[in-house]
Formats: sequence, structure tokens, C-alpha cells
Amino acid sequence: MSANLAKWRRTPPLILYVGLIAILVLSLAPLIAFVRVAAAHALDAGAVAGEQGFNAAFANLMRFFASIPGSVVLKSLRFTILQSAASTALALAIGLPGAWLAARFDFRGRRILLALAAIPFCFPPILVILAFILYYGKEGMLSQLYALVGGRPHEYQGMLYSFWGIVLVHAFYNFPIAVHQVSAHWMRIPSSQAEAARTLGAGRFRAFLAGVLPQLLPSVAQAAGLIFLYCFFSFTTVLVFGGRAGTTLEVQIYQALRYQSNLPLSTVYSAIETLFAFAGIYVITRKSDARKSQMADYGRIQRRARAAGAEKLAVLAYEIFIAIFFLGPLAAIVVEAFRVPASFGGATKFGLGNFSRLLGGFQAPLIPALISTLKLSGLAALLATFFGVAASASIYSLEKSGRGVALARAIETSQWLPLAVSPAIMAYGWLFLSSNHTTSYALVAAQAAIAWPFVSRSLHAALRALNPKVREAARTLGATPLKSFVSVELRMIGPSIAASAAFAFSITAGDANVPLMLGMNEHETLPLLLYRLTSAYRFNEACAAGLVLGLMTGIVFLLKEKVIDVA
Amino acid sequence: MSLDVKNLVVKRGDFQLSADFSLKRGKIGVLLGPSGCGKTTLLRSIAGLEPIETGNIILDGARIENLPPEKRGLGFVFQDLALFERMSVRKNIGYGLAIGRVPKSARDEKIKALARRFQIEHLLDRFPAELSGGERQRVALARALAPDPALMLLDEPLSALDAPLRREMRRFMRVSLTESKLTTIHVTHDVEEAVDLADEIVVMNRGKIVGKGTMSVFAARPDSGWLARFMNLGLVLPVRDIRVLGGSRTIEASSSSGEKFAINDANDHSAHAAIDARRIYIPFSALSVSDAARHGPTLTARVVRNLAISPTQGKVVFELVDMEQYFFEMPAENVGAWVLAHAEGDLIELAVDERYCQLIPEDAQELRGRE
Repeated sequence: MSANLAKWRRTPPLILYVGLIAILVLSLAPLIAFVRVAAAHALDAGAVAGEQGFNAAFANLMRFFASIPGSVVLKSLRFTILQSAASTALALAIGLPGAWLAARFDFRGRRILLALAAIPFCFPPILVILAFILYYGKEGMLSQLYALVGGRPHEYQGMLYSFWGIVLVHAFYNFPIAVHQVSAHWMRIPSSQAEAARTLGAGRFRAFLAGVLPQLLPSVAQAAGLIFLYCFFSFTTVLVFGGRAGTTLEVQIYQALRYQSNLPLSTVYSAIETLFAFAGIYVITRKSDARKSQMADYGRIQRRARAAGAEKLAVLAYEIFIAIFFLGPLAAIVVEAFRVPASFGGATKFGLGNFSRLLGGFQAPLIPALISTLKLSGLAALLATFFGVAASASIYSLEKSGRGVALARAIETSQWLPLAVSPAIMAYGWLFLSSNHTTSYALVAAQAAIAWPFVSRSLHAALRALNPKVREAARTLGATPLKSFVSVELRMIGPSIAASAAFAFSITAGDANVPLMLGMNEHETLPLLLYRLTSAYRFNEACAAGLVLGLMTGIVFLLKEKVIDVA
Repeated sequence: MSLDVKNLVVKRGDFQLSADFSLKRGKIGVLLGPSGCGKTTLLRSIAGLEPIETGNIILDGARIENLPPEKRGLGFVFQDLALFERMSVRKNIGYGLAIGRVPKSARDEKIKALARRFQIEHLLDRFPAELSGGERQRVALARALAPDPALMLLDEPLSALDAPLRREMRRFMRVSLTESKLTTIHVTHDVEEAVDLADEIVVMNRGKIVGKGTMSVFAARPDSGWLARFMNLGLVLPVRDIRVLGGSRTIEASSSSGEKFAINDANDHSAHAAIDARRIYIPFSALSVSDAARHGPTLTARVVRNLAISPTQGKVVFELVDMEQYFFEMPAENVGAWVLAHAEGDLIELAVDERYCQLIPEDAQELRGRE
């Protein structure tokens, strides 16, 4: 072992520690800032004239806790858990058959089915909500189809503004995650165990139970955990469709912040949310580790059969189901984007009228919104990529050196913050941190904070997947650890970095939550324009803006997939 | 039970497999061939795990090709063993019995008997991940044997083991399978393994069966140059010219290096092949270190590796001087006492006993195609 290598193994460079601590501070800073302001509010709010010192502060805090409406908290928690569980169950029920088909068979439309995984990241919730209203609503396309087959339109009451409406939208959003994640795992499960069961006398189903299901469960549990968390933190969908059905903790946080300015109450809601989120994250990470250790033994991807006979029928039935119930709403967006509403005395026609109005009408908001989105999201994506590369490289280096593992684990845990802490809390935290409460900076920082963990996790996985012998070969040829990292490893994960940056852009460009929470008005991004047009009941123009946004994020996402394919 | 595979055809994209062979009751047949030749596909087709285009699979007089795998009553040991990782060894072995609704007491008894026979009694409550390579092999074999299959199919189950363990397991399997008088097909690409295990060897290449028999049968008359080289039976030299010596029953074949071999015409098995598709086959038994008193052709060879440890033990690797990168191995006993006196790089003359030389086609399939 060279002296340099021995030295590296003993003490990783100080800069690595400094960098990691900086990342940790940055990811925790908004949370700390928020809690500091909220604590001050809690102490001030209950202040009684004449009381001072620690005892007074303690009494104030007690008064605050006593004022929390317990029934509301419990009711929201119950509703949040119920809708998340139901949404997860429906997403899995729809996604698992798709995962089976995509993993085991070759058929037309397979790539499209897998590409649907882009939906949660490319389409902001407001666009999906609009799509669902246009398709499933009382005046929607499904209602019109119902009339075409002989039903009376008014008989179709719809179900959107209910518990099941929320569940349906969540299932739409998340079933592609189940398809994508589970099929990726299923594809690698060797068929030999199920075949062994067949040769021992088991029929197809029993062979599946013995030979496939036990191996599949970690990835199903991981996908379920992820979907549950996404639904648990769902905001816009519940805000729009929840109504009398109920509200989630996330909506309660929003209401406490925006309408009551009650920061302490939102902190309590958020703390409950985070507690549950960590339980979910624990499941996800445990199952993810189990899945990774299994997959390390699997080797190559299993051969897929051409779907034939009953399997072909199953594929067709599944594709029709997905097309009618899930691609239908997206088609509604496209149709409505080109449908120009009837003006006085005129008839409805199809054309580019909605786009023209957005491009050339009063204020012509589309181009400025597009530029704002590209500028702000581009900046946020760059920032997220920078932090993601730095964090993943540092964690990887610490793991390799065997030192500072505790710090590396702390950073890894902090990567889960966007999934464990309310985005509203984080957005307000950034707002408190930004000078003069400048929302543009706060937006870029908050969105980068949401996106960098995705970048870091994906790059860390790419670094871990590298053959360690390549690095060792570079070292034996005289490269220092830094040189070997920059010249060999970083180059090999180059496509992953580009793909992660594209992914970060897709997430930030489609995000409407943070700008809405920040009440942004200095720059209008595409999701904000979409939200404004929808609020003004200009649905067709909203669809046109949504189409532009969907196309932009979709193209970036597909480019990312292409980069991964080529790599 | 006896097995008959008749006119079986399996198609996978551009690859086509055709097979026709039989195996007598209680015999161990080995499917031998290079990677990708279709031997595993053939085995899986017999088990019903791969669909077939045409043909019949007959087990003890009953056609089974249309039955699903679970109805064929076969035992199958997979290359990766395919143990159920979430089940204990006991449950793995008992799986087929449970499916067959064997009562629990009888099932436990059978599991115990098999575990005793395979010396894995102490492992019954462990999980596959806690077993060594050899122990996993035994569990896989016990599991396949438990439901009393009519035919045992083994798909390179020893390939993942290191050499000493592979040898040990080979012996163990041969003894176990012979004891149980179970008709077995074993797939391998290892000639030594095939020779060690088989009552009969079926050699495959490019989706076709190119030879059937035992090692001694193949060595006496290999069907093709490819087969002789693959099984390391002797030297296979390209032919430059052939002429019948006037009035006699002798053919003179010239190798590409110009050496002439007088071969009895009864040893010409390639009469229908074009000259460039014919080969001179010289079994190793026909080669000896040349002495001045002997007449006939000789070949000049260079010692590449001398691995002899006595005049009768070990082997020597040679390279033919006149043919670029033609390496071959000969047992030390064929070389004799001379072997100990020579080091790597030395040149020697090998005398060829022409009586054992044969003319064979390079590719028996192509020859049959032309016929």
C-alpha cells in the first residue's frame, strides 16, 4: 500500500468534513429558522402582562399546547392516514399487474407504460387536477362519453370531490411508481425458483408464491412506502378535492400558516407528520437495503417472452384500462388546449386560439412565465446538482476511507428531509432566511433543497455500482485518490450526473407548491400561471399553458431516460 | 423409466434446436457441448419449461410433451440450484411432498431419510443462505429426489463449485443416482465431468446432436473433426491432397504441412466431403516419441508445458511446429520416459502409427446435409 493511500485511509481531507457539515447545515437551516420563529411566536402569543423569566415562558408554552384543538389534529391525522393507505392500495392494485407485464413480456406500449413514471415528476398537481376535472367532472369528457352510449349526462354525478376522488388522483399519480420500481426488480428475479416449484408439482400460482413473491416483497414494500409518503404529504389535490371529505395535516399546515399566521400550530402539525414520515422512511430504507442485497445476487436481466395467447389479452385489457382511466385525463388536457371556447354567438372550434391569447393577448403571460421557469428552475437544478454531486462524492469517499461514517450517515439521513418535513415549513424557513424576505432567492433555495437529495441519492447509487476494481486499477497506475475520482469515477458517472440534473429540473419546473406557499408575486412561473388561469376559470388557456409545461418537463425527462439508456 | 426424445424441434428467434435420442431405464446420460449449443434448452424442453415446435417426449411409453411441468413427474436441479431462500432446508426438501399432499408424518420421515442419505440432517432447520456450496448442492439434489421423480434432469449443477468440491460432488452424485436407479440426464460443457458421470454421452453443437456414445466409442471413431477436437481425442489436421495409391486399398492424404499419411480406405469416413472439408484424425494412442528404427510419417512438436511428474503421471502440452498455434495435450504415458528429460521449448519428433489414422469430415452435419 502506498504511503498516500495509507494516509488517505487514516484521515480523509479536512475539506471533506467541512463540505459535508456545510451541506448538513444548509439542509437543516430552513427548518431551524422556522422552528426558531415559531417558538418565539408560541412564547409571545400566550404572554400575560407581568409574567417574566423561565417560568413565564414555560407557562406560555403550556397555554399554547392547551389551546391546540386535539379533535382537529386527530381527525386530520386519521384522514391523512386513511387516504394515504387507500391511495397506496389502489396505486399498487393498478401498478402491480403492469409491473408483471412490463417485467415478463415484450409488447407494444411497454416503453410508454414505463415512461408513465415521469408523470409524478413532470406534471404539477394543479395540471393533473385540471385534467381530472375536465375528464371525470360532471361536465367532463367521461360524462359526455356516458351520454354518447345512451346514458343521461345528469345521471353521472362524478366522484371527484370526495375521499375517493382524492384516492383516484393519488393512484393516477403514483401507480407508475409501482410499475417502474417493481418491474425493475421483477425483471432481475431469476425464473429458476418458480420453475423449480413447477417441476416439483406446483401450478403457476403456487410456483409464484414460492419462487417469486418472497423475492418481490421488498420492492413492493419499498414502492408502497414511497407512495404512502407522497400521499401523506399531498397538498394541492386534498386542498381542491378534499372539501367536506376532510383535510390532511399538510393542508392544516398551509391553513395555519396562510390564514391564521399560526406558526406554532403548523409546527405541531408538521412534527406529527415528520414522526410518521420517519416510520415510512425506515420501512423504505430497510426494504431498499434488502432489495439491493438480493439484486446483487441476481445477475443479468431475465429474458422477456413475447406476449401471446392469454397474456396478449391481459396486455390488451391492461392497456385499454390505463388508456381510458388514466391517459384519458391527459388527453383531455390536449383536447381542451386546442378547443377554443365559443364567443358571443359563435361556435366552439379547434385551433391555436388559446395559445395565441397566451402569447399575444393582454399581458401575453406565456413567454415571461416560460422564461421565469427556465431561469428559476434552471438555477435551482444547477444548485441541486452541485450539492448532490458534492454530497454523494463526500459520502462515498468517507465510506471508502472508513472514517467519518457517522457524519456520512447524518448526511444520508438529511437527504430524506424533503420527504419527512412539510414543504410548507421548509419554504417558510427559506423565506425567513432570505434577506428582506426576497421570494425569488427563497424559491430557488427551497426548490434546490427539495431536489438535491434526489440527485445525491441517485449519484451515490451510481458511485456504489461502479466496479471498485476500476478505481483500484487507476490507483495502481499511479493516480492519487482525488485524481482517480476525477479522471475515472466522475467520468463514468457523467451520464448519471446529466440525468440527475435533468430530473432535478423536471421536479423544480413542475413544482407549484413552494411558490404558492411563498405567495410569490414578483415572478410568475408556468405552474403559477396555470394556477392563476385555473382560478380565473380560464380552463382552456390553463390547459394550453399546462401542455407547454408538460411538454417541457416531459422532454427533459425523456432526454434523461435516453441519456441513461445510451450510458 | 426409459426416455425417448423423437424429432424434437425448438425454435428461439434465429436459433433452432433439433434432437432425437433415447436413454435406457436407470442410465445416466450426459448432454455435452460448448456454451450456447442448446443443451440447457433441450433439458428445459424435456421438463416442459420451454415450448416445443414439434416432436415427442416419451417417458416409459407415455407421451408427456403436452403436459405442464408440474404434471410430468420430473426432478430438476438448476444451474443456480434455485433453492427457496425464504424456506428452511426442511421445507425446501419437503416442498414437492407437500404439493403432492403426502401426509405430514410420511413427509417428515422421507425428509429425514433423504437428509440422512445426503448427510445434511444437521442442516434441516437452517436457511439456504447459511449453507456452503456443497451443502446447497446436496439440498437441491435431495429436494429434486424427494417426490420420487420418474426422470432426473441436472442442468450444470456443479458449475459454480471449485475444482476439488466439484470432483467430490460428481462422485457423490454418481453413487446416489446409481443407487436410486433413476434415469438421469446431466448437462455439462466439461468433458472430464461427462466421462466421469455418464453411461452414455450425447454431444451437441449449434443446436444439433453431433455424436452419441461413450468415450471409447468416440475415440475409436469420432464423427467429425470438431468432435475430436472438442473432446480432445487426438490431432485433427487439415487435408491438402488425397490420392488412391495405385491398385491398393490405401489412400494417401497429405496434410497442409506436406506430411503424407497412408490410410486404409476402410478408415475413410469422409468420402463424400470436399477435400477442404476433410480432416486427418490421429488419435493420441497412435502417437509416440520417434525412434530412428521406425518408419512412417512424423510430426515436429515443441514442448509448451511439461506437467509430467513421472513417466506415467501427468501430461505434456505441445505445439505443432508446422501449424500456427495448434496446441494439444498428451498423457505422459504416451510420451514415455523421454518426458522427464525435456524442458519447455524443446523440439521433438512424434511418430505416427498410420494404422490408426482416419479420414473424417470436419463437420458431420454439413456432410449429412450434402448427402
